[in-house]
Amino acid sequence: MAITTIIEAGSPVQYWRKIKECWQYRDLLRMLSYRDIRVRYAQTVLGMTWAIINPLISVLLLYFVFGVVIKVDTQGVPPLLFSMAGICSWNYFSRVVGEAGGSVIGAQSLVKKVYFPRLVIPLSKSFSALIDLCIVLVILGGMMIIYKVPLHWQTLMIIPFTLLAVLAGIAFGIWVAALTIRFRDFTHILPLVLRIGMFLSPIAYGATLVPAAYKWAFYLNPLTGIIEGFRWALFNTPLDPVTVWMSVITIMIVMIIGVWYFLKMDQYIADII
Amino acid sequence: MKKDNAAITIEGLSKTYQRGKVRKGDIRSSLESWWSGIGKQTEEFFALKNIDLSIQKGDVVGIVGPNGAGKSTLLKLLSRITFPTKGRMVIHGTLSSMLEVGTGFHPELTGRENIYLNGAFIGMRRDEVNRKLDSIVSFSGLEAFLDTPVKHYSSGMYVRLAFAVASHLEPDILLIDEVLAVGDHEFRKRCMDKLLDVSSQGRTIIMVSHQMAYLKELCTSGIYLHGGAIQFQGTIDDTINHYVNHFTTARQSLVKDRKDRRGTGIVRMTGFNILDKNKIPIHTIAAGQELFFNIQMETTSSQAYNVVVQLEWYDMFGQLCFVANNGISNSSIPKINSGQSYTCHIPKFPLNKGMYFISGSIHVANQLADEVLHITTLDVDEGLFYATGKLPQANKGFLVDYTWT
Repeated sequence: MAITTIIEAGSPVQYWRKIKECWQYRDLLRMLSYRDIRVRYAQTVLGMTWAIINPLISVLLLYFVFGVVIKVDTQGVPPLLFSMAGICSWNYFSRVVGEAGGSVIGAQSLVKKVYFPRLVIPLSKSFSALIDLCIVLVILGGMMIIYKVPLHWQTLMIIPFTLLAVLAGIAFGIWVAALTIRFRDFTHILPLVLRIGMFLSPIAYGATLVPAAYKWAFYLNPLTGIIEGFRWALFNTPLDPVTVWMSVITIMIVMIIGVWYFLKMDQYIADII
Repeated sequence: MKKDNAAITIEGLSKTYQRGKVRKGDIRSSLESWWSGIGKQTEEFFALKNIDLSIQKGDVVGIVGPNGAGKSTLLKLLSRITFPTKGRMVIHGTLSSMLEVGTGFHPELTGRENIYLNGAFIGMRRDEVNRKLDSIVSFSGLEAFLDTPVKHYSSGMYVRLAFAVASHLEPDILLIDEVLAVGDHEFRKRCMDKLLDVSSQGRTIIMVSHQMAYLKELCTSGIYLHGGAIQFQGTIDDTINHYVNHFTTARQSLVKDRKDRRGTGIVRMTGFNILDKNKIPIHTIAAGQELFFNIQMETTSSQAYNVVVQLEWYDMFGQLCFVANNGISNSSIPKINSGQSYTCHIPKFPLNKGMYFISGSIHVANQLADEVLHITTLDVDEGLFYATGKLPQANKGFLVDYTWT
């Protein structure tokens, strides 16, 4: 089969073709995700246990501050579970976005030497971080059994919300990666924004506690809908459908902008980086 | 030329970069350049300028030229790593580039895992790697180390593994950028045979190398690039001859204009000549020939005391062969005046047949004043180092005057 490639200066960016190319390179996507997972825990004494210890420590910290000291209203849910259900999707999101940000720059030795769809690089981060999310969800499931939280059909709704978290990671990851290539300042901005985001997301407190005057800010945070959705699915806490729809809409918009911007940058990446 | 048999057609291809003021990756400079107006001209230079080229299916093309001639840029454009500023390329068939050794390897992963990772980078599908795995492994000869993380590999093993993967690529067009410059001799030979094998299957190969010997052996045709333009195109032998003759004369006048230098600049190299025993400039050197390496220097200061000049001879693998340093053999020059020249006399040039390059540096009062890497390339031919006229094989080190009794 003869394939003819025409490369012409000034020709418009073929967005659809580049997205399809990512599918052709799905083996690379898989290998990159696998590499990240392998390398993250290679040569550490505790290995994969770190994937458990890390989130556990932050949950205990949140539990201590919000559950023991401040005693936030957890809507009848055991405070430990409340924080845990809140933090798992946030941890996933911030890991994906944090790693995707510098990912293309980190891979510059490759980007300058071999052609492959660059979109695969930030994309792989959302898959490699998924393993940690799954581990935390399994622990959460175990603790729910210990705490005798009843399971019912609603629990299954955790799946679409996890999917939404993955989409959020992909969308923001790609966008931030492209921004970081163009403006290195984002290597400093990003951790800051993520730290702010952690406090502005209803992780250890419910969104219902937010005064009405500030509600709009929480609507803009795409993680609000996901975090609240996780807790709704697991513990049937009240869920404002508006937050969910706002999350979906924000994620879709960022996805379109992010992918568009990344692909627009695509042909210059090797020159700028 | 029949058009339907072309593997690559290039029309009016240009690639420009902005000199000095590269698009800086921070918001401030971005805002500043927006503020000062987009129409404002930045200094542009052409890495490639208006290239027209047609490469036929099954050709094995060697691209030669000095550093910065645009060789790698051309390969990068063909492989879509960067995008042209002007012009058009039509590529018929699949195209892959052979990676520099170790690119795309992760030290923590095992050999086997790296085969899959590397394969994926160069566009092999998983089932394709599965199918070829046995062949790749036996080519590399690393069966016993397949499940060892590659960080424990020796550099030789690294090369073997990398090349084994790369040589199992089956694109219609294969790009090779100076990748053969590593590895031990025997393995390089095997790689080369494998490549010739590839080309006999009707694939098109385009390679860039400073290793004229390899190009001569592998390629059928050649392209000589200089300053982003095609200077010559023809058979590989003609191309190499053109290149060697051209740039040995062109290069010397360039020392003065080289921007990629380090040092305080109190004393600068402004000219470089290689002279034979009659003090006539020459282009091609014979092993064992009496030679004078002449450096012209300029100084901006009247304080240029205690000057040490060093020349370094490297082979094409970047391996240092020997140095000549007046601070060691004689003593430093007490004082340098502008326009002064300084000559290193080598009664019997000790390097065997092959391509080499020279780098030079000047220290003034133990401080680096000027350093130019790769001042010029040396093409050394066979010669009368030993009275018999015989020479050891090209990879058997340099030449020493000795007698047996």
